[in-house]
Amino acid sequence: MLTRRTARTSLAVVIALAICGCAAKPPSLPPRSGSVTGSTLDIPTASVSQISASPVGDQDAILRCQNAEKSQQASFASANANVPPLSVVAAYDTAADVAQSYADSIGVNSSTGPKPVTTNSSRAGTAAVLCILDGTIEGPGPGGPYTRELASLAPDGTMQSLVLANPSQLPLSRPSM
Amino acid sequence: MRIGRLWVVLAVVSVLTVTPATASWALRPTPAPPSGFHKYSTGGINGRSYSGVSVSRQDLIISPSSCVYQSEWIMDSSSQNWDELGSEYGPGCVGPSNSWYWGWASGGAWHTSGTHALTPGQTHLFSVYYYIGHYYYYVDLTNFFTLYDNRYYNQDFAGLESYDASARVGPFQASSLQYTASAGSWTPWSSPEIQRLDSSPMCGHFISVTDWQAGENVGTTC
Repeated sequence: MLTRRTARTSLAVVIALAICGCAAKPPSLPPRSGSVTGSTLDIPTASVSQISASPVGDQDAILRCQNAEKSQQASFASANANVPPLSVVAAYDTAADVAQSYADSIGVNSSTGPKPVTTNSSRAGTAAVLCILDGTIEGPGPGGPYTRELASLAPDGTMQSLVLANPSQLPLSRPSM
Repeated sequence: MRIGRLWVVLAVVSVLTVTPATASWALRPTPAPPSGFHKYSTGGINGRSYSGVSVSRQDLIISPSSCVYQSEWIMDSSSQNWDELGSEYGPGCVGPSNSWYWGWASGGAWHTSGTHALTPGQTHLFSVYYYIGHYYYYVDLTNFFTLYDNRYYNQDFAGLESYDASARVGPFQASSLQYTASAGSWTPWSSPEIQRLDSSPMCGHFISVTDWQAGENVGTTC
């Protein structure tokens, strides 16, 4: 039976829940693109990235990738470009042939899938840095905008896009052949 | 006690009517910068086992604030697998602004295979075609990329893809549209035509079955 005391207690709890909205289903996290259609909850991509975990991988690679992305963003800003920032979520030191082989395998389900014909075997063993970034990426085709990018660092420190995909296709684990 | 019950009922009702959307007033952060624009004006064909696509067109003279692609692609019906060649303009593309780009997609993942600086305003012939187990990517007579890809596709497309809502593009023509089917010879596009044409500010139409005209923010001129 509902007593006056339990009624007051319930009332207090329910009002508290109503105020904070805790009893309602919480808003889903927005996609990496940073906006939810039809909702008033818009969180910039950078905000999502800022509250995510630290990047994983090799520390020097992480720093180099972050510097490359900062430099790229600075050039966008100086040109008044409207390009969402990306966040480095993983970075690895690897070899160029491993990086290329790994990149070519993403999204490919079988050994008979598409594969670039390369004639440059001199890249084997050459050091490379792979960066994995999250954000809104304006890539071509119906898959866009993509939410995760695999890029390599050129010798001059600039970033070169290799693969655009989604997180399920491009995990944060260390690339292997 | 009745008043207490009434308050409980009212409070419960108010809780149940707090939807995620209406509850977000307490969570609203700084608004996001404008984003999410991604629209097309492309003409295409389907109905065969395509093994090539070719288009003659002019590279644009534009400086958008986000990425704009002038593209052609050959794609399967799932829209997850395709081979693509085109020109890109503006920041945020897969390569430098004012470049030709080429690549392929498998399982929805896009692979950028290369870029090359273009000269705005020039007209070129862009071709992707299959021959003995490989797709060859050409601009005019130069082979820029070769992909091992033993597949035929269901659709050919050519036109405009934009991430910049304010870009003023064209109108320009994707002309002399041709296909190869089942590794056959080059053939002018013919019916049935299809299109992927998004709403304003995109515009486009077939001038003829082998000429698609595309534009963005150009009013009624296309």
